[in-house]
Amino acid sequence: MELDDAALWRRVRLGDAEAFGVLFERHANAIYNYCFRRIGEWATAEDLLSVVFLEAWRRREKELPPDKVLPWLYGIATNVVRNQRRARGRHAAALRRLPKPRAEPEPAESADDRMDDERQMKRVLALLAELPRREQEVFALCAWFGLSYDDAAVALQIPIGTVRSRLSRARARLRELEPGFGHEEEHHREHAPKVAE
Amino acid sequence: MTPKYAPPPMRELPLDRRDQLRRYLLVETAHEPALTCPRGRFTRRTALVAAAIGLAVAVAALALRGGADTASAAEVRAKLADGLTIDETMSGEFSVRTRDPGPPPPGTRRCRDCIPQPPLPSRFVLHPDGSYSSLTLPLDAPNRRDVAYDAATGVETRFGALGELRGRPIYLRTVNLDPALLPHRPEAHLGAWVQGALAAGDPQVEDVTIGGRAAWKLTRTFRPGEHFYDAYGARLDVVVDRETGLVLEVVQYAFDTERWTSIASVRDLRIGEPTSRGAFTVPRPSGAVVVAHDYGFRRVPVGAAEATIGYRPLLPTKTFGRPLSDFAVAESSRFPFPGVPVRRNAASARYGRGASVVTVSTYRGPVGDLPEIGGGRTFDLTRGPLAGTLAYVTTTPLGPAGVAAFADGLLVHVTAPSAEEAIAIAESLRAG
Repeated sequence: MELDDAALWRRVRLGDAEAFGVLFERHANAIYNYCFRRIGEWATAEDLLSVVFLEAWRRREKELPPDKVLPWLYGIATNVVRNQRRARGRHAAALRRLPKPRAEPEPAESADDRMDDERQMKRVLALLAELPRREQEVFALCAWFGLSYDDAAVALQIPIGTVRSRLSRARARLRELEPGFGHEEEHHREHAPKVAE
Repeated sequence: MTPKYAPPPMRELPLDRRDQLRRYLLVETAHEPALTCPRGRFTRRTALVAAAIGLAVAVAALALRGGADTASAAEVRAKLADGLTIDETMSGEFSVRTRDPGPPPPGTRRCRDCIPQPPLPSRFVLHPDGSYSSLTLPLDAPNRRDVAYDAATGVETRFGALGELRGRPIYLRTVNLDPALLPHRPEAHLGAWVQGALAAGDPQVEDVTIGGRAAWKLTRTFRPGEHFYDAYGARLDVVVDRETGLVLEVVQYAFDTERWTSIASVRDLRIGEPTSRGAFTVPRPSGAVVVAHDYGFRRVPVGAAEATIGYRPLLPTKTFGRPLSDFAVAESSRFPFPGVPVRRNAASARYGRGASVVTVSTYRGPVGDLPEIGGGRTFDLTRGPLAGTLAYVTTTPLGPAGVAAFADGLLVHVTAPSAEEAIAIAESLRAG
């Protein structure tokens, strides 16, 4: 039987690295895509993915409410993206040991797709940069990754009311800047990772 | 079509990369303390004391490390783990020298494997897909122990010390191999064995150059009886290649930390050189007679194993981060050599790649078929379906540690880089 996030986290809190590995497998893609959508580079997103989980392990004594492991990881990712330099500095030695991807030739099509992704994401981020950072964070979590207000509040450690008001302001401002911006919310909701199993 | 201001669709991290990062994290987490200082209680005085201690530690570390670039033991250990999962073609020459340690000093327990049986010098090639070859040097030496495996065809070939048929030496060609059958590849097992030896404590690290390659030299001393079953003697010096993490040299000291008793070395290491598939087949000497053998193992999904073997295979829930890499079952499996018992209703699983592998194997047979009886030391398993069962643990230089047990007519074998891991894995077995 597969353990749920809460059970795994209880083990992680006791120092069970295997349980932590299972959480990594389960949520690596969500955090990887979140990092990418916040910075617009796949390679950097991969580095930051490792930093997020190293940081999560460092904070393994944290008691989390049931079903809030992934929102909490999104919160760590948000901080890591926000303070990239500091976060990378803290884990500099570990990052030096980060294994290089195995040298398997990537299909040209896939490499092109990734470059297209990066161009597209940078265009989106340039528009998003018109918002205050705090509103960007709420927007990314709720609109792009389908987090509930409650989960976003856990991730960002702010009250639910603040999540609601920041998201509302962000949406209004984006509609003002680019009326077509709202389309992507529905477009991507179906691809959003499940918040909790 | 993607709208102009929509983020691109999500992408999955490639599975092998995710696996690689997971393994990396597991290594890193082993050395990362939890953040325990509660916020708000960090007083100015505490900060000053911490800063003073930090400064003292830094000064002491600089004095001990002998160079700004010298790695910590944790870094070397992580690199070792890297080296065990072969990512590029590697080739080199392997040899072992030994000398008699003499009788143990009074009051010192004789270590179990102080003097390894030295294998013949060999040239090895390792491929990331699991193919390998190890050919005795010199290549025209009459006394040979050649072995090669081509992962693309699943065929293993051997020559040397296999006896004769009709007065001609035997050249063995085997298929459908047991995933738990790890061939004798000393150059690869070196890394696994060393990892086990260093698991219990941090060695002293210094920078060295060996065979023109930048390396780290790790020195670890052991108190008699300190480590699991005294497999390592009094002291080990291990030289690890900085670029690949491959173990280049292991110097073992049986009783006296100043007198070496065995030196295992890898020389002429080459990385990433193109290799033809022919390198993974032992050349058949003229005059040798080819003997074909089928071990009888068939690759099936774990869930389908019961139909062949009549029971749900026992598989570990703990593999220290290694994913399942091979699983096969056999209604009946024979070795191509006389005198080895037939294994019935066998299930074998391998976890991990390269030399950093764990294997679990179960089959039906009498308890007397356990080869470890008489050779290993005994202990009681305390957890899992085998709890309360008497088990045997063996540690051998140049090979992985093993645990064997017998319960309800089933023989269980577990191998891992260290005895501690093998025991933990044996205690985590569950019916799959």
